[in-house]
Amino acid sequence: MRSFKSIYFLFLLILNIFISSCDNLVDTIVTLYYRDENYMYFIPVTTTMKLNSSLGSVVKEEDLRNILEELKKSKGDLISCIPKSVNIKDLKLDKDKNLLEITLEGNNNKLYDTDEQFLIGSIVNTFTEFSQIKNVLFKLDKLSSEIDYSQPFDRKSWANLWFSADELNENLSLATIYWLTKDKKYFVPITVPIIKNDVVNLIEVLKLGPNKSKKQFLENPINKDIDLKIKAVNMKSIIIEVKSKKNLPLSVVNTAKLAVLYTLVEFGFFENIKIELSEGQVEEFDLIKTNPKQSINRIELFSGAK
Amino acid sequence: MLKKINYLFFIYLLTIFLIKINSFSQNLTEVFDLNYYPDNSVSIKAHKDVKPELFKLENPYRLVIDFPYSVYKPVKKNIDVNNDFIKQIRLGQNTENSVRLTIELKKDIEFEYRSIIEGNFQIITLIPIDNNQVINIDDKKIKENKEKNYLVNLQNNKDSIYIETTRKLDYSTLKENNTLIIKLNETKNKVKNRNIIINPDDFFDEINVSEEKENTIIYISYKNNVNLILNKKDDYKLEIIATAKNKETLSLNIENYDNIDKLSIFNENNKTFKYNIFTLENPSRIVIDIFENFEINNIDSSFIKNSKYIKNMRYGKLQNTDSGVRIVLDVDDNVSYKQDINSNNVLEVSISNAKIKNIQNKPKYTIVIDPGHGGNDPGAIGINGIKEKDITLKVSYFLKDLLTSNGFGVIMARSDDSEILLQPRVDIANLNKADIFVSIHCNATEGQSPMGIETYYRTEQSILLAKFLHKNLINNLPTIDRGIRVRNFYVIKNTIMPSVLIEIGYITNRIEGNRLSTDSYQRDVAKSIFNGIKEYFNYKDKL
Repeated sequence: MRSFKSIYFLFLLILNIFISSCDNLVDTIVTLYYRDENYMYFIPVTTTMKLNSSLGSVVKEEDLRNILEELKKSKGDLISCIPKSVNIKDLKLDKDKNLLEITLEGNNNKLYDTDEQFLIGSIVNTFTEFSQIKNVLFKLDKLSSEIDYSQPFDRKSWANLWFSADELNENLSLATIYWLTKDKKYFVPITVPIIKNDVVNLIEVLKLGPNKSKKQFLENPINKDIDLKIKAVNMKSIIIEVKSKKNLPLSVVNTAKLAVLYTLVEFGFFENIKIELSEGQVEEFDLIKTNPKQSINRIELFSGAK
Repeated sequence: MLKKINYLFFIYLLTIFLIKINSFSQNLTEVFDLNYYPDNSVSIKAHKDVKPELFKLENPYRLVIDFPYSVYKPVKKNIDVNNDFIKQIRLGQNTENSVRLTIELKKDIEFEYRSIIEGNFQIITLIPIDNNQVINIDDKKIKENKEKNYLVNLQNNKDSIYIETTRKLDYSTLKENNTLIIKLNETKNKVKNRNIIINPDDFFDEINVSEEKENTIIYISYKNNVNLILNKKDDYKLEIIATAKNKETLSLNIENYDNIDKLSIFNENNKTFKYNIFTLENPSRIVIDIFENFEINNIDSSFIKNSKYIKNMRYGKLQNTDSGVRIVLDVDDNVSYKQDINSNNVLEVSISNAKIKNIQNKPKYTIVIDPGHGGNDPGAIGINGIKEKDITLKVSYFLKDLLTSNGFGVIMARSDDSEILLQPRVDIANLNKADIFVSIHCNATEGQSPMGIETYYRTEQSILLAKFLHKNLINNLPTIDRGIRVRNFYVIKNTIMPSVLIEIGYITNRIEGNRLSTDSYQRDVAKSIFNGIKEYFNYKDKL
């Protein structure tokens, strides 16, 4: 029995050493960017992937490659932005500069303008979700382009941003609000002009819904029978009322609530958001502790679900 | 038996505990040593792998630095400063695995951010920038800090070497035989990664770093068949680019006839080459860009002396291209040229005294129209095999006719089915000091195709132009408004005047592709752009 005990102890010890020496694979929430069927905007979806981890976040090139592989696959109505004719030839992460360098390889073909923009934007948006990557520099191999790739791209340059002629003015202040795809299945961050730092105006623009040039591609998440008003606001927190005037289905109220929540989170001013849904029913979000956007458009991966 | 099971279970728990401890220790590191100095600077220490995230907030003004995956052991520390600029400095655990440093300000001031690596740690210092001499900063101390704490980084790859510093570069260079000597002033012992590895197929042979008094000397020896170009990217970065030396030569010959000076340009192997010719004024010049990596044979200057219309000829490297030659002929005013390529691939430029344009009728505004693609580059291929390059050229000519008949000056960046690179298109606009630049393209996708018009701009000065053009296109054409967008297309990024790139429709969409193939729709598109241009200049005139 004594020898059995020793062998068992030794076994556990070896197991311990083995586990400790392995890379830590941890469940990591990633946000992948797909496109809509009209090639108008990027749709972010969150999912969980098992990735290597250092300092709790994705920093290994292997992880980034895995994410790219996932990004290549369309998932139903979420369409991949990476054309089959383009190969990701090389990927290098310069951690000191927060810079990711990607070499795209074609077969001496030209990428069509719209395909190219969605390819680049989807990669930039997906990878700059990680705090260690601020910029992405692209190199093209056997691909010609009209775009200037001499400088790296930041996240801002690939936002869902387009103006109708009457919206565009000099000295615009921009903010991101969350409207819905035309089929109302996914939230879409859309960058729109607002009065600078004005949360009242922000909520007004959200509530008003997509204007004429955006109306054909987006839906308003705030039902017309929902009362949406700011009850109190200070530098750190906001209390906002999202109340149903009629007996609307819960899902309709919930959609409005999420659109308001995501928009306020993106606004970046508040540490605490309280949403009053009915008398006495208040949902509170402490943004210091949680990031509600980590569950936006949540999907499970069809393949390679880890 | 139960005792044994308990014993084994205890060992199992211990093992799991050890694993967890191991994993935890990899994830979180500590932030410590927060200090505030009388010059208003703030310093703090963190692990070198932590990437701090800085941002500013308003109402009240705050500079915030988040240290992800970090802990601050005392949980909270506040320093009440309460001087004219800083109200309070707060350090605390923001979330379970993130530490936040908040500097609450009394006014909106900027800070200089510095990070110095010391062993496993980085020391971050935030120094207020003295914009209007409002903040009392000990300049000498900051200068001393800067002197002490910067580093020189040396990096190389096959065909380039980067020298990068955290303070402004102060250097001089000397070329001796096949060695480039770079003296970096007052950088003794500041160069890290000195042991540069050179592969046999690199353009460089050897890179040596040595110290001389207070300076660092970098010796870069390179191969015989290599040309070196020094490219100072900014005040902090110097790039040494190696390119293979030209092998083939380009010969120039001038023949003088009674009323014609003829310049012949040919490659010794009768090889074809890409080129572009255009004219410039004040003084009058004919510019010939050759987009190939040729060396030019020296020309006998006596040919110029006998020329009737050519006063001088210069040539040099074509700027902003990897390779290429620009030949500039200084000519008399009011001469014109004709170009031809003969059967031996000789480019003949004949200069005579026909007038280029009537100076007295010089238009008020000059517009460069840039028809996208051309020559071997067809652009996108749409339904029924229609080519983007053909449609953009036709629309451009319709637009040119409308503009010139209404008194505008027009320069075509591409006037026929030839391939013109992007930089020469930019040059044509910049060198001619055009008032606006309009690039015309067709859109396309690989799969199922949307329809609609997009107008792109890049610079703030182009907003009005984009607005007027897009409004007219959308109001007058039966299509979908896909919006005005910002994107760094090469031609609109590098032209210095208001410039737009218009995607006039999807040639891969059945309906729009068919429309775009017809003369009448092409005219409608041109008319809408013309109306937009007219409205833009009318608006500008009223300002």
